[in-house]
Amino acid sequence: MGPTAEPSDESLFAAYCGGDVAAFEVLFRRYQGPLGRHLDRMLNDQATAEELVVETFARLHTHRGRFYPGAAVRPWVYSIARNLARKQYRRDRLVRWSPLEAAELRAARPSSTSPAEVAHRVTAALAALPAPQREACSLRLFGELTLEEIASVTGASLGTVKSRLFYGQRRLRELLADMDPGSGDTT
Amino acid sequence: MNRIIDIARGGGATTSCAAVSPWLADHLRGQLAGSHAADVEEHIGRCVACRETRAALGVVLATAGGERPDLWPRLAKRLATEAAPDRLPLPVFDWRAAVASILVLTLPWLVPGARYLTTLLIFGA
Repeated sequence: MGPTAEPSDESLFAAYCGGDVAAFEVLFRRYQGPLGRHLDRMLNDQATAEELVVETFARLHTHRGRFYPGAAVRPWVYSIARNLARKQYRRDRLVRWSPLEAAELRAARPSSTSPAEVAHRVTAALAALPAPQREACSLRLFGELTLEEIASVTGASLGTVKSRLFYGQRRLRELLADMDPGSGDTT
Repeated sequence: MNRIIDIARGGGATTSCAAVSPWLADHLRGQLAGSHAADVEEHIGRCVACRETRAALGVVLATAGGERPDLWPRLAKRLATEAAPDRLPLPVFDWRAAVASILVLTLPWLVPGARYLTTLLIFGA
């Protein structure tokens, strides 16, 4: 590691446990984007995703005493978020991930290229995936987790994670086959 | 880093779609290097399906951009609220309440009539 390398998640959290609040802020800002995008894709609700990002780190703070040297922070963070999201999902019991919706969207708008339409298509395509595949793809794409970390968070074997990614990504290819890769920028 | 290869029946090394698939996102983000990147590039150079999958992932990732609100103030507020019990100020001494309490407690014992009334109120007629 070079002298200009950023501190690891683990060293930041260890510093926070030692009383350095600024380290927790750095850690949070590092995670709020990827974790928020992942939760947003899983729940299809940005406001709830933001609430859960805050709640995840509040729980991390509460349970900071359980952290021990050598423990990995990222799987821990995503595991907390996963549990919170599952509770939220059970609470809502909404039919947000209807495959029918995805099919209808694809039939109705075959080649739209406006950013909003592209975002809508992508949301519907992800919604069309079976939940385990969607979760694996979202953790990999938005959370940027390693395969081993996804296995740790989801409790699946490494082979299962690879399989979910393979079939999930293949389905995304089928659903987004007519999309231009340069058309999705919604900034 | 190990190479992404499958050993074919004849002993030759090759890459399959299933072996390359988990690494497409990393390749798209430019996070693969060395032989790993070379394996993926070699594969998508000859595999239309994986090339299209990579393009689809590009569309998905592109929609993840955009400004999002900074959530740190919300978390900081939440943490401050949780920490509040440790920092509660000591109760302020209220002399009026103290005098009133003393009077209520001692009056029945200082004034005989009041004492009788208090006993009556407590134990009934």
